[in-house]
Amino acid sequence: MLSTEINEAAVEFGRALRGAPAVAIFRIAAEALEADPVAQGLLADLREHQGTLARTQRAGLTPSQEQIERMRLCQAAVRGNEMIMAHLRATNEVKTYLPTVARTVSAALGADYASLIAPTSC
Amino acid sequence: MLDLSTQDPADLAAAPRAAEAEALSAAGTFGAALRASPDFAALLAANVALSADAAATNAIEAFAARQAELRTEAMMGILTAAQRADLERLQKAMYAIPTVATYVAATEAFGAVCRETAVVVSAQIGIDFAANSRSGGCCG
Repeated sequence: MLSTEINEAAVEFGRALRGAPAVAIFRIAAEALEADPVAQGLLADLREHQGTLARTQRAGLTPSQEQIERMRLCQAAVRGNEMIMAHLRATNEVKTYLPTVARTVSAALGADYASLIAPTSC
Repeated sequence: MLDLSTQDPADLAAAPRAAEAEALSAAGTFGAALRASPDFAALLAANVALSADAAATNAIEAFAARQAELRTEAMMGILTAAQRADLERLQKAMYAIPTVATYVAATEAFGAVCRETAVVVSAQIGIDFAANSRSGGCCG
């Protein structure tokens, strides 16, 4: 349970971070992607093809030429979808930006905040 | 009629910079608040006590040295029962020292506070802050 002071500081930090361009653009891109049925369909197709290929390879089989060709077409369709690409760019931007912010927290704290919050698998 | 004063390109460029500066300033304030917390003070005190405890330092070094010696075997999963028992004995001896136990507990307690703050921040920004706050991902 966080103390009131720490909770308020975290909420204020999150609120300010939410207004930073990289985060704001990411949120807009994520919402737009979520609301776009065409993009969602393409991503669902891609996941399905990836799953099929992975299952084929796990079974020790070589994917057929037809499977590979369908995967290529699916990937090309995803790459050609501006909504998905905008989301991808925004994701890359935010993933570059957040570590710089975490380093600022670490500098004020005097300890590596990113390591302290890293998922236990890390 | 449009208020053209709001269309000044300099203003448009300044807004994101101001938002970014505000986020960095809030990051600094947040870090300072964490530093002022009782959990961090306890961790610092535990660190000082640990550094001043020669028995603790010796026990940590003994465990670390044996662990380094057996790293390859441990990675390959070929530790013998005797080697495993040796590591466990050294680890147990290390954790039995009060300053070590206090330091471990203080680290865990402060880590839990930090992880909880990351959950608060993630909820605000809509992306997992903990998993994305290290360059190259959480394992980077």
